Amino acid sequence: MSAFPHKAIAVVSTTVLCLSCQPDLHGPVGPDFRSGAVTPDGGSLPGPYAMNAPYPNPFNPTTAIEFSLPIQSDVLLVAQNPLGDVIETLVSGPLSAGRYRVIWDASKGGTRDLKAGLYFITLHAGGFVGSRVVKLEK
Amino acid sequence: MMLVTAILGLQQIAFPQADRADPRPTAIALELGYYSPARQSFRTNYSQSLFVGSADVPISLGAELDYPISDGTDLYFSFKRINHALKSNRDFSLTLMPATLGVHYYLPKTFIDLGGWTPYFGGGAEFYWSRFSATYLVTQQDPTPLQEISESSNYFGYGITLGVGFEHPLGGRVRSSFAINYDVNRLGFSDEGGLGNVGGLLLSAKIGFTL
Repeated sequence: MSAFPHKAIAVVSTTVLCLSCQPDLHGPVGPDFRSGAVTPDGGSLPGPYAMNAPYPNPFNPTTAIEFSLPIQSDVLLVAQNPLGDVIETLVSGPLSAGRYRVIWDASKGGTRDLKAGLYFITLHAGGFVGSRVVKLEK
Repeated sequence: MMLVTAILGLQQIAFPQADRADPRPTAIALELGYYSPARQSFRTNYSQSLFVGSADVPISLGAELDYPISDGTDLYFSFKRINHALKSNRDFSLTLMPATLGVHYYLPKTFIDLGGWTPYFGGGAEFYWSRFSATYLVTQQDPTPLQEISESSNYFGYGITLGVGFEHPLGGRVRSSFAINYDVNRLGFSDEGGLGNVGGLLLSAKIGFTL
């Protein structure tokens, strides 16, 4: 069994699948977390936060978003319309270091009947903010 | 047209013929402005820049034609370009391009004398053209990008703008002015039932040249 078992964390209306993460969601972050690197002085240097290209894209009605956290972080992952309005909160809360996959189902959740068009998905984690553009097709 | 008629009517009531400002020549003006959208999500997610990819410069660019329709009143037509880039992904931009037809009413010196400065009120109807441009990665079964696609969508709408300003001659055929305007508009967006307000406050400085 893997030291970092997959575990599902129900957040808001989506499911966050931990692909490889530290077992204790709220525990202390160790120096040997997977995405980290080691500085010359021996201290830990977190690797970069990252969000991969969502897939599939264009999508209808679901797309998967994968992101990496080098350290335990408060995470906010949201789907937004072109004006920047949050149309669905996909993840909100602390997550331990690791890689995660979130499925956004645009056919349910949110407060609006989404139309075909461009949207963006934004990850806020630590000081990192990154967005990916997705296209909903109908 | 109703707005123009209303303002001319108010002008007739408020100020007798003898109080009106001197006849004004036709002029063109270039405008630099700072646009602050009223919508919180818009301010939070977008930076403003002259050109997508440039350093953030929170200004708008515009041009204006002023045509006198009566003493102290100009009919104006303006066109502005305001670029916004998504802070967290510069591949996504929103460009607002309002075209405005309105009137400026310049208060006569007999009503208020501010030395070389002439205060004015303005209002107009706006036709809004906005353009979303985005570059996204085409994927299928995994995050590996298969293709990069750049796509643009045009959205149209309407709005009104109201404002006040001060004009000051710079000598010869050149004049400057400073104005503050507030825009309210409705644009068609894909997920809002056709309505969305990207209006806000526009602080602008203009330099004009009489023809």
